[in-house]
Amino acid sequence: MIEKIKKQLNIANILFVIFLAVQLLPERYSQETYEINIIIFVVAIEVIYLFFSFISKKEKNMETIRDIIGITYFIIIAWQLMTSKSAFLNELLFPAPGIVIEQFIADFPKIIEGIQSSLLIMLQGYALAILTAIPSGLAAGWHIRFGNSFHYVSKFFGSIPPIVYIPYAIALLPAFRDASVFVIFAAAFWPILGATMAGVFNIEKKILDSAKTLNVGNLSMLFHVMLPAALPEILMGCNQGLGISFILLTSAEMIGGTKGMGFYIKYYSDFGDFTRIVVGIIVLGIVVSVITMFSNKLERYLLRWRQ
Amino acid sequence: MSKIELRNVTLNYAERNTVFTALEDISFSVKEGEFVSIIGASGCGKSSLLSLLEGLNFPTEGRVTINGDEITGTGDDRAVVFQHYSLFPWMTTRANVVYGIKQVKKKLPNKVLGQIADDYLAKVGLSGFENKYPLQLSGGMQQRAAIARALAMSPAILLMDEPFGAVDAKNRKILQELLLELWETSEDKKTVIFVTHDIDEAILLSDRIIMMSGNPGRIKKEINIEFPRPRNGSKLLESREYLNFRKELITSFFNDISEKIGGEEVAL
Repeated sequence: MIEKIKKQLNIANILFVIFLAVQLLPERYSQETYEINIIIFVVAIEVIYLFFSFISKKEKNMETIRDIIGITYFIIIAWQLMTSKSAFLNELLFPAPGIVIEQFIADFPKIIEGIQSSLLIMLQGYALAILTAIPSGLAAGWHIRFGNSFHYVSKFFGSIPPIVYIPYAIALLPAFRDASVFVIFAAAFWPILGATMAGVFNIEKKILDSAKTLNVGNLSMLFHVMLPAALPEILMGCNQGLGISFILLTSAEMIGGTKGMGFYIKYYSDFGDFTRIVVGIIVLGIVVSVITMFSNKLERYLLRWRQ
Repeated sequence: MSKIELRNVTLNYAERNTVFTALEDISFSVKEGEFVSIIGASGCGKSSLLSLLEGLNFPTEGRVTINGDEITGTGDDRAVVFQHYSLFPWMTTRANVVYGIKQVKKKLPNKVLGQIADDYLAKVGLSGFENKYPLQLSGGMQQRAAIARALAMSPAILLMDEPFGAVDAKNRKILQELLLELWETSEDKKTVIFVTHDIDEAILLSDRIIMMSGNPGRIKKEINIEFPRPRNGSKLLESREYLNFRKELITSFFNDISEKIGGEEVAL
């Protein structure tokens, strides 16, 4: 038991105590700062963390989680010290964490709607890119001559920052939704195509020979042999495409959207509502992190055969 | 009746402006159910020769026939075991064998395919490793699985391109014994062409050895191996007849090499 308690003398818990001490400092912002929100938030994290650290047996996992929590506490403490606890930063530009949470709760339905709208557009454009780029890449990688010319074409289009398509997309596809889907498709298509072609090109020749000696049919050759053999590189292209898609979607929403997280940030920035801008930025960060986490999990599962 | 026949086969590779002759005027035939090893130093063209039989390459001159028909490509009458990459690393051991059988017998239900695969994996001693991926297995186990797949496809001809070349010495002995046992005890004796640079391996396994010399690849000598079957590796290796025979073979092998490099002695 003493061992267990001793173990709690770690960076996360020490920062938690510091956080509590910081709460004793007087408020310096003139407006209501809703500090109780951030106190509830941090205490909730601490309770959950302590609970799991007592029941968990996997030291390794807990170590990473502990460090992440420690860093989170540190950021919150720094944030409070620079804003409501000292008024070192401008009150109108830098809201205190408690205010941001208050606003987040108030806007919660609007935010969920925004995320939904953003993700749906994203999913459509990205899925379209994957479904067209991978088969084209496989075919182009297979036919050497076709592939060689395609290689340069994809390099050329891939090198154009896809944001320049936005004016055209909006002009040609008057519905914002369609235009956004198109822009995301255009952004994700080229990196995935290029990676697929490179992946096919780099397949070990012996693997293809082995498949040929099995008398594998053309379709099976494409989808059972070449696709999995090139998959590590294809997934690299997909990750790259995903990153660009996020940037593009947010930009598109800020330029011409009426919905979505990019629009949320842009809309309130016109009113100089920095609390909501901070809410939008944090929500976007969380959404992108969660999606990246799931895509990494999926990638690890798909490539589980690699040692 | 000869199952496989090569007549005056020459194979040239075009290399930029020059033509490289990999094989020159190769003729030999292999009877049905015969185990023939092709032996020679690295780069003598023995793998090129096998690629003609695999149907991955075609002769510049001459004819390669199976049952009298010219080879026009790969075929399900032949199965191949390579030194590396025979298996697909993204499929489990069982999935690899199943995928192989599926190419030959398209109509079998998956359950039966899995059953056949498990039977053959058991034969090569891989029971319990059916759900492992090739990269989780040792080199020797990967080759066992490759052999299981080749046999499960029940081909008439088995082509093996230095299958044990990358396996450590101890496992190599075990795999040789395994192949010998599988081949000697099977009901339908498969015709096997086995490429190697290991002379002991060739003597132990084969009915006949074809020795090649390189640049350009030619047949130097054909030797029948008369040791009775079923053979036992360790017993055979200790017998006096074997040692004498091996000495003779190596002398003829060395002659060729020493001619090439001007009489200097080399270790094989």
